[in-house]
Amino acid sequence: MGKEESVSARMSRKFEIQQEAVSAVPRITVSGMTSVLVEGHRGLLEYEPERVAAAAGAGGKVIIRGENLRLVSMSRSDLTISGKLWAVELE
Amino acid sequence: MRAARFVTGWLEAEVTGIQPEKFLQTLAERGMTFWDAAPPVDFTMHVCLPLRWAKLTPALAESVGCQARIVKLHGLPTLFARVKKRRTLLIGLLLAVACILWSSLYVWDIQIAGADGLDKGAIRASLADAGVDIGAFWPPFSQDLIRNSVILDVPTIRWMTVNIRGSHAEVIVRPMREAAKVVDEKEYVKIVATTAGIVTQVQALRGTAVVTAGQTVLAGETLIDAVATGRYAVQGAIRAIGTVRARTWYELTAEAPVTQSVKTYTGKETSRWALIFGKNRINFYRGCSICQANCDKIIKEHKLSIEGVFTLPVTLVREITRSYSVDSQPTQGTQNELESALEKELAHLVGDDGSVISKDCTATETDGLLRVTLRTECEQQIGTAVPLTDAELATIESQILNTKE
Repeated sequence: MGKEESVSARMSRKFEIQQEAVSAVPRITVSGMTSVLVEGHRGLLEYEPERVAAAAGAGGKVIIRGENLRLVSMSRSDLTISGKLWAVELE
Repeated sequence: MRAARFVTGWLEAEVTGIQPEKFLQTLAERGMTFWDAAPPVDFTMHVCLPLRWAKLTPALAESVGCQARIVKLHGLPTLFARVKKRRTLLIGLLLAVACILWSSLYVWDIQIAGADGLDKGAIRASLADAGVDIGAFWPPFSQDLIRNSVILDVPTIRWMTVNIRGSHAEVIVRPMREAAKVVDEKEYVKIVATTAGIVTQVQALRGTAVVTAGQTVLAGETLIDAVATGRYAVQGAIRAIGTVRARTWYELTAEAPVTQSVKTYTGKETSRWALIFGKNRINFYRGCSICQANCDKIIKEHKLSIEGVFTLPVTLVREITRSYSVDSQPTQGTQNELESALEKELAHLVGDDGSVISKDCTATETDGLLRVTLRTECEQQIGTAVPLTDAELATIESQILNTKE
């Protein structure tokens, strides 16, 4: 897995292309302090009004902390959370 | 999106388990849409799903160690399933829809737009003659025929169109523009004074100036004559062109009552109701609808319609009668209003190129009337073109004949 990642990272660096285009790393877009889009997640781990966690590649986690968090939409790879955002943490 | 969900139907499910969010994960993995997924409370989560997955939902929940219960079904399919058992209701519903569809083929509301300065009554009458009236069947309407008929009837209309939306007919009209005045160069005109004054400057570009600076003239007096003169004789009548500036004096007066009658509502208010079906009116009250003395009547009409969708020939009318007493109160700011009105009139008299040299304003109060007088001295152009009369033309011709002899 690590080898594959490094290859993809090397490829993206060499060809000057975004890493998420060549490997399944998550891409997080926060808009307006009230909405966050996580692209390329590996599954929903926790869903609470103050905390939403989604699995990222390589055993990582994307944790969204806030108030009144709601899952607006979810597909196999993307999920959109809305609410009052406090923090986006990566583990 | 909401409309599509309503048409296809949706369900509200309650998922209970140790990790209900896993159920959402399964839905996402299968590409199944869901929405309004509330965060779990006491191991229970609510989520909305399309109706087509009603049977699949419990099995999916079981596969992730949860239990799913369908709380409620929503949308059109559910509604149909419910109504199917109540035939009378279904027939009534279908009849109502049929009535609305049938009614939408008739005009129940006509609005005329863009008719500023035009006689809307004449336009309505002309539209009625062309077939566009309340209760008219609109599918055979021909824009060209209606337009031609109305434009012929009302010559002050330049263009018009009729837009039908449901039972609402919107008539858009454009008024005729006045044609620009064409100066007839062959017409013989002279320049005369519009008002009395002392001439300060004469510029006769064509014609013969008959006044000089410093001369006093009266209103209507000839300033530049329509005569072309040679060195020794009169050559003929022409169109005089020129400007004559003069000092002028005006005394303008305006009056207004010192007190005015002011309405004060007593708080007494009554409502009466009526219903209009097409052109027929049913009053839900006795007597006539004429308002008594010292009361305002406000009529509110509520059409049974959905804006832009359909209009039914049913209008609910509410007539509100509000009583008031009339009290006499001193008028505020009357002098300023009169002064500004006089200033406006003076500006009109002096014209754009004129100027006010001095002015004096006085106000007197007699017999309950406030009289404001504005006395001014101005400097302005006083010449205006006036066509020659036949007698004046004959005089000029005789002058030419005399010189030839």
